[in-house]
Amino acid sequence: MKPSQFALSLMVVVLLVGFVLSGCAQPAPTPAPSPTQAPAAAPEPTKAPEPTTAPAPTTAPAAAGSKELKYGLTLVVSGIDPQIHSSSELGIPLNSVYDTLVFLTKDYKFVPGLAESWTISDDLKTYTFKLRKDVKFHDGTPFNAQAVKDNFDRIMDPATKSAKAITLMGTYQSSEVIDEYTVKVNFEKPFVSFLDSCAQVYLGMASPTAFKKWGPADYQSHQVGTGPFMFSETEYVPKDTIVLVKNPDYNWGPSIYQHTGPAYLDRIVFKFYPDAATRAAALETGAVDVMGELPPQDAERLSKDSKFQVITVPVPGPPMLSFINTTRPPTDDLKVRQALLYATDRKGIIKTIFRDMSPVAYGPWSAASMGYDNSVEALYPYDLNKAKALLDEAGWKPGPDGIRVKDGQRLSLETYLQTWGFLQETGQMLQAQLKMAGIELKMQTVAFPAAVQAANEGAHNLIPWNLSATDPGFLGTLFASDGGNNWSKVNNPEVDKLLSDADATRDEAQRLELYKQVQRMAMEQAWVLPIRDYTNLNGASAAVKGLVYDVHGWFPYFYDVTIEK
Amino acid sequence: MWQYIFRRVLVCIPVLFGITLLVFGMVHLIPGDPAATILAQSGAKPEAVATLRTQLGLDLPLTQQYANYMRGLLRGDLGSSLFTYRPVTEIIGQNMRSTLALALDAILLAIVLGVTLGVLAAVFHDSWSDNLLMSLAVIGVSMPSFWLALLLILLFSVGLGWLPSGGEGTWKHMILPTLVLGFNAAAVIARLVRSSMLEVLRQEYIVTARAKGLTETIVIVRHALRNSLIPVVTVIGLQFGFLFGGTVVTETVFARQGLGRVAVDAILYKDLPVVQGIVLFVAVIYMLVNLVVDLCYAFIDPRIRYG
Amino acid sequence: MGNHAASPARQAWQRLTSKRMAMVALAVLIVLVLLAVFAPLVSPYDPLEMGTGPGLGGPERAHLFGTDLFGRDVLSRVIYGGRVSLAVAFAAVLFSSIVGVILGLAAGYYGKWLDTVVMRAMDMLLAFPGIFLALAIVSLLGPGLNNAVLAVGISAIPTYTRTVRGCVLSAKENLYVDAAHAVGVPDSRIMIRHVLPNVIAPVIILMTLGVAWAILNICSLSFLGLGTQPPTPEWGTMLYEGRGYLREAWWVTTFPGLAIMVTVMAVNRFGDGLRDALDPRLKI
Repeated sequence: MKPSQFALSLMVVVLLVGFVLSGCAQPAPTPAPSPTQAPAAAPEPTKAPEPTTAPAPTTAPAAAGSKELKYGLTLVVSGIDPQIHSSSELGIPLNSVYDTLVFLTKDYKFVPGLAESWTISDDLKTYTFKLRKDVKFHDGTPFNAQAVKDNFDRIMDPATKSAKAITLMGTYQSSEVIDEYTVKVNFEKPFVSFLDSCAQVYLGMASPTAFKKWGPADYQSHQVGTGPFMFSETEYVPKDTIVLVKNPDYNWGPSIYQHTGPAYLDRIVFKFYPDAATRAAALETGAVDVMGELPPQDAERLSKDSKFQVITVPVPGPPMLSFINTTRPPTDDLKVRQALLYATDRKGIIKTIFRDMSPVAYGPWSAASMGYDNSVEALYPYDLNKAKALLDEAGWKPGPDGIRVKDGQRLSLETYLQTWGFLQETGQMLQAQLKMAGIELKMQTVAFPAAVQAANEGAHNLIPWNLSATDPGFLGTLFASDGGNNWSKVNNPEVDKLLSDADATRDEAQRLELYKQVQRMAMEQAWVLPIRDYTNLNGASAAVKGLVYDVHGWFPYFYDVTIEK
Repeated sequence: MWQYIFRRVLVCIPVLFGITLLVFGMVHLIPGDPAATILAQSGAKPEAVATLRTQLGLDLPLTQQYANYMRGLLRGDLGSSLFTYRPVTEIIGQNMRSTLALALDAILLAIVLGVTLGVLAAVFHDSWSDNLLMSLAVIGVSMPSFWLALLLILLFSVGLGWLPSGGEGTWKHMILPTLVLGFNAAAVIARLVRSSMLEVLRQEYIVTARAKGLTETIVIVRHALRNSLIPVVTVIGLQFGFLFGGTVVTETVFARQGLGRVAVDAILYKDLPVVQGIVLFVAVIYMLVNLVVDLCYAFIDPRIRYG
Repeated sequence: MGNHAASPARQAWQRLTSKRMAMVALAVLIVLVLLAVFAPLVSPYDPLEMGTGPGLGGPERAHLFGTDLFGRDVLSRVIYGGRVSLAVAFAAVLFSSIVGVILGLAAGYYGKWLDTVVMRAMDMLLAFPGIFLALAIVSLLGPGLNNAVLAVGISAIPTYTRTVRGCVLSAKENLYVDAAHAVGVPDSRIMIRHVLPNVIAPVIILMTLGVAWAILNICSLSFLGLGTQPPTPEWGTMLYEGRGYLREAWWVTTFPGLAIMVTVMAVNRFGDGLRDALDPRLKI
């Protein structure tokens, strides 16, 4: 064959291959014909249903064909093993694959999950769980005390390299199997929030058979739990598709569920939509039935459209706030920090950027959370004159261009923004507002790792961040002198004492009272600049019924969901 | 000719080596620490961060880290992502299909559309169709691709409902992204083909061919087109490189999971093994394409011979 | 000089001015540059001032291009945005052309191992898709205008180097270069007097088209959120900021988008005319 002919054939072959590849790119997720569950087996509640207002199974799967829900996620940067990785997005699909020992109700009460009952020692160092006896993992492995011990040991094992779950384990020492369905967990120091940890998907119970077989890196593609849905390992494409399939044997749900027996949906398909601007389009064209985290303007528009519904979920935990660096001038001066708070028109920001779909935040802990102290609301109303007066008192006089000056220094603050979570838009409004008080805000947008580094090093005067948690113990992470997210660089023995006292208090009311004092102190000392409480704006087609979110605000319960078609 | 190919491949090796060094150096200089980044949202204490750093092997001296990586590379092991712990080879394998398919389709579209329009414009030189086509081409070269993408989604997806707004799976999912990606390249090629052909059509041998009585079509296709294609083929090779960059934007807007998007995230998060793996992969492909392009010269111009 | 025939430069100029398209494009460009230079005089509002109108208000008499999310006037921001976009593009092109020409001259003229080193380095740069390189550089150096210039500029260097090297190689074929060398004319003189003139024409064309490419590249960087920093008005950043509001406020993205297109089109058209005028045989 002549060289030139060879070259041409090579080119043609390459192009043909390309065509073929594109033609059968990803196998389209065709709803597989429901596996073994006979559609006739309607999930009649076999015992008296507790909440009688359950949405009557009008869509009892007597209808032929499978019921599939398509859910739009944002982006998972890390892997998807809840015991290892820290992204909150992973919880959305995996919350239905795993059950937890206890569940948290909307009133912040713990109810039995995989554990039927539990006792806590008075010194808060020992938790004893009595487990349900009728639970099986999706791969048939029985669920028992040994499984619980294996799970906890796995999280603590350095080889697992857990990033988040391990931080929920406190000062874990060991677990003991007392009998087949009783397990005792021991801690070195009193650990008051262990139940809260146990209610989170990061401590969901996984099948020891599975994770021992696959090892830490591969297990995430072959996850096995006890939940109402099973992880379809054949259809998983990392960062592209996650598929859950109904667990036909499921019958051990907590009391927060509205029915018993298997779930209504047959399949849930998750796809990723990293670009916020195109999420609404995916919902509107029917590519997904539910889309998480819609931008406020799209949510506002869709809420007026009868074909769609917007499910607004308040997210507890810290609100969207800026840490104010108390060790870096000029924010090391309390008066300057307080002036910042008075000069911020939060309502204006929320109206312009968030379409009034978020409540105003007044303190380091949002109003929807357990242990919220509402006395902080009165502390810093928007008062520009007060801000100016404070700055005058502190010796900052207006300079020639309006920015205040003292001893030849301009009143100039540095902040680092990131491209997600509306931090840039908020930053711009803040800059304009602070300018009116004579404060100059210099903004820089950086990538996430650089922002983390800046925050840790204290290179900022202000640094806005989005964090989430449920237990007010998280305030310790924010304000304790050795806290991991202590980006205000607080070093205050009084607050340290409050926090350690709270950690050791058994009485819930008393504990919350201590945390309220922490919140009050944080605001009196102006350690943070709160902006808004998070609300998660989820859009869904009007045909989706029964979709509720857990008390953490991010994770949906798919168990009771039906689609009217 | 096999000697030529062998020599070319040999030359690639130091270049690839240099690339690994460049990427390694750059990513390490980017501010930020992967361990701190992973643990940032969980509020872990500095000791925990230090422990994770050691576990990830990030506290070894740089030279040793590089040596470890190269040793692995020669064994065919590209390491694992610092964030997902998945092997890089698996990440590339899974995302490669999507990106390659998109890039190949786009370049196919660009070639077919570009060459056809370019030839037509040249043949109908200075007429209104020439002007129209060239104006279209200039627009194609001048429009920011993400803006085009958003407009197309608005029109065909949300407005008319004909095409999906994102995702993958069927041929319908390929149309808009291919258009967006290929439009620019098509315009570049069209302009080049046109000017090239105009030049060639003025040559004497064309006049001779016509004088001999050959039909216009044969004149154009067999003689003019072939000779005007050399610079075009070069450009096609170069465009392939640009296309990979273009896939980043396209993949973001159309919610496709491809190498472009993965690479950008990896760079932003300092996930060194993934960055290295993808850059090397793209570089290898780029060099392959160039090699193919050079071989095509031999086909197009019988005067060129290798080895 | 005493010639009756016009010099090549003169001829080129005559050819250029005779092309209507190119002249129109040039006029448009001059208008754009003037608008950018005299922005403070021409723009109706301060581009950074919030609340000059309603948030996301449509085009009307007081705001010809409407207002953005914060009530800033879009027309003013487009005018000022031209300053930034054009300045960055010009700076980037200047940077890459100077570096590229120097490298290309050195590689082509001195040949041998210098040539090999430079060309391998260029191969390495080329094998990096432009946007990854730009992204890496911006991540490395931090965001901001200067670094954006660097990022965009570096990825364009290989084009200049290759082209210049090619021209130098063919110029070296000429006998008079050998002759000059033999007589003892210093290398630098040879390069400037004999080689450089052949290089100028293609480089000018590359620079002109490079401006268009640089503008588009800056916009892509801004689209990923790492180009210019808010609240600085810049066309790419305006597209990035406004793209979440496409449905309810089309004007926030359309006008900067049109500005980009018109500018880039004008630059391209002018560049085409320039290329045709300078040497119709050049197939760059």
